Amino acid sequence: MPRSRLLALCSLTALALGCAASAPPPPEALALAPISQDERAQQTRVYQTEDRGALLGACIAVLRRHGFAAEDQDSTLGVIVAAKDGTSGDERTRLRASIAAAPAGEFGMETTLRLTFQRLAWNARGRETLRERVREPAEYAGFFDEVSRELASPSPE
Amino acid sequence: MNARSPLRALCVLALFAGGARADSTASAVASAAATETAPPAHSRDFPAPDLAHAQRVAIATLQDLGFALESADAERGLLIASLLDTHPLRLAVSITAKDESTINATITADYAGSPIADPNPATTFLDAYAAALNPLPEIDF
Repeated sequence: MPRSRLLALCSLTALALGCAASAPPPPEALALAPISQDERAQQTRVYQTEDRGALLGACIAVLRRHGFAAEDQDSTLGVIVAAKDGTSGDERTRLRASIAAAPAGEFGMETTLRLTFQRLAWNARGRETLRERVREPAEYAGFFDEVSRELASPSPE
Repeated sequence: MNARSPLRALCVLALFAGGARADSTASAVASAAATETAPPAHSRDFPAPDLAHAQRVAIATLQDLGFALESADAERGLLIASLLDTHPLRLAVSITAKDESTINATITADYAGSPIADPNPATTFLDAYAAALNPLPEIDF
């Protein structure tokens, strides 16, 4: 193949990739809708403590016990983002936990913990192949219960 | 200019366009708070004297709309969150104090790292945020 044709072929391929990357997102992706009350309740637990630091510490201890590593943390906002990376075949996988703690109750004597678990995966080319929330109620209830136990009797560091 | 120059120019343009995806993905979060190169931002002011409360309400609003937090920075007032399911839609939400009794919420959105101009996600968030900041009073019958 002549060199000029090869160059043109490469150029058009690259141009096509560039155009594909800037394709508009599907309309349904931009139509946000509130989650259900049941799901919100599943993600939420109220703890009878105003010590948000201790609660976040308990969350970190439980996450570490399950192999999560912290990705981001802001103690002022009471936010923890942690992830557990793995592989499945050729794919890279991640289980992400996002936690937000906020004062609750009439005088802020309680703290609400809001938790989401999310599964992500990428293929060998780095393209995202999976994005889904964890819906199993037992996963959330189990985590909240462990946090309660950790709060009651903190494990040694 | 010789005959090959247009072809070379096309090559450079095409390679730049093809490579733009990786660059935009990597820089989407970093550039969210920037002003000159940022995607279109949607902004609204709200009466709210307590900035910390306003930032926490923004977090709860994102969660209520099915987003997972990716990062939070109280000092900069910047929250990054992406949809939990299916679509790689990400919002960068900036909640900052405008004056003593007013906060400003500014939203930018990207899809798989590419900025999007469609105002729908930002508008939906801002409407939900307004309702969450100023909930209707409960009425006893």
